[in-house]
Amino acid sequence: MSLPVNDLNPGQLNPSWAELLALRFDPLIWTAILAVGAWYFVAFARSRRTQPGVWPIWRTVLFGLGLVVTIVVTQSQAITLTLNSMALYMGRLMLLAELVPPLVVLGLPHHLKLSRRSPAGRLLSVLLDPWVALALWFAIIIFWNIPAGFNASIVTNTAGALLPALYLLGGLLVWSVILRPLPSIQGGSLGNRGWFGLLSGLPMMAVAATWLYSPTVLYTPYVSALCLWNLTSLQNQSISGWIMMLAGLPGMALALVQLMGWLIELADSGTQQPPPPAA
Amino acid sequence: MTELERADTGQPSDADSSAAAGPALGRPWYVSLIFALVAVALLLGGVWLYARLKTPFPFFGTAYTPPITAPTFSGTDQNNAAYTFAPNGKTTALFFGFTHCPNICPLSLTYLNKLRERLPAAERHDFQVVLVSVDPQRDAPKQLKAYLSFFGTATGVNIPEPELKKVALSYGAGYSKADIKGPNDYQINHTTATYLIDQDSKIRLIWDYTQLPQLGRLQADLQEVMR
Repeated sequence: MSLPVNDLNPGQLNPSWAELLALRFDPLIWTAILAVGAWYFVAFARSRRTQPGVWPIWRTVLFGLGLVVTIVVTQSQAITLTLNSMALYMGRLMLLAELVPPLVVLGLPHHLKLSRRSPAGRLLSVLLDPWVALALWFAIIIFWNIPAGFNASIVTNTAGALLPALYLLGGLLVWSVILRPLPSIQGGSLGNRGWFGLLSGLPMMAVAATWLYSPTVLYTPYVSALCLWNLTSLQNQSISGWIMMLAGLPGMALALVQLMGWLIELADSGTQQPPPPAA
Repeated sequence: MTELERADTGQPSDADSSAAAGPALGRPWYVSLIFALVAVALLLGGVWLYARLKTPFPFFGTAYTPPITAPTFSGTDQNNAAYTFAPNGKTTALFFGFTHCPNICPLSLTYLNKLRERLPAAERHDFQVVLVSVDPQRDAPKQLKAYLSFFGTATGVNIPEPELKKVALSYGAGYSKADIKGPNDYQINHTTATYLIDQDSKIRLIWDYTQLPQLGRLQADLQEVMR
């Protein structure tokens, strides 16, 4: 992990939104995001030229929003204040895990068909296997939120700079299983996706509840930290719990809807009359 | 032709369609489980590899990549003499604290002194500990001298405001008064980092206060920086 150069006055513990959101320039991240955006928008333009209407503009807007949020979350001055606000840090991670992924996944065109035999199809069919996605998501949420892992991620030379990328990756996998953007390589059962959505929400809810109800600060780097906005470390931890819980609710709500749909399908099965034979 | 473009022109084959019909594409659950375990192992291994690539030596502290020059500063030391920070060929552990600190500062000084004692005699001579007081109001040189006498050979520096604020900011450290009960009865919340500065005056890494008890790992970091 390399330390970001702290351009924001660290003694100023009441930064304005303008100060927090002022952009930085990390060439690697900007290049990666711009490359993804260019690839997407070139494909969109070509599709509009050859098959107008197949690729709706609203999907492009959502994808673009996802990229913009990613830039703001990873390239703003807020990243220099991780040790001054657990809530701000968790807010950034939750945007990457629970907002950017649905925007990006919904931004993929519905007519996108990947062959299972192509290298990308083979890789994605493994990554989007619910077992694999769930295991990776559990590993990211649990390993890096138990005190030893969390402490290490923010004060040691392990995964501090990598953690936002991991949350983004985990969120993309989870939301891809839930929203099923690639039907040619993904299973289609509403029930499976509903159960998956509920299960994937559990570790976040458990961590959030722990933070909400813990009477002490769980992470030692925050025990004596100077916190933004005159908050105490314990208040920050509690707010982080709220942030994580609220961030997990849309996914769980969608999972419940999918489960209800699955139950209705089950209830209807065998009760529908087959259509009358053609005369 | 990209996958996205290909999608515009082709339909999935029959084999693809039939495979997509079942949950998890008909893959047996135990194969999915094996994939899941391998994926988690790859994730954790990848993170480890990433950390090693960023800094080939597995520093315990948070490394500055690349290292940056430590800002210089001047003040008064515990012997009431003018002091200007300069490595002078030594490696320096520098942190911001104050003598009325109930826990973090005395423990930090204790651990850093223990770290110094773990070093071979030759290296011990080339390692210094510097405490910059964030409480210049109460930490007069006399107070600093009495306090530091409990913690080996550390140097204490009193820098008056507003210069102190500038120095702290230049290191990315912060501090503010808290629990104020009177003009001379208060605590100070402050950054708990210790900055390890090499003999060329480059900040090489930061140890958080919570890492200081692990003296073996601190010593490995220190000896790598001193090399």
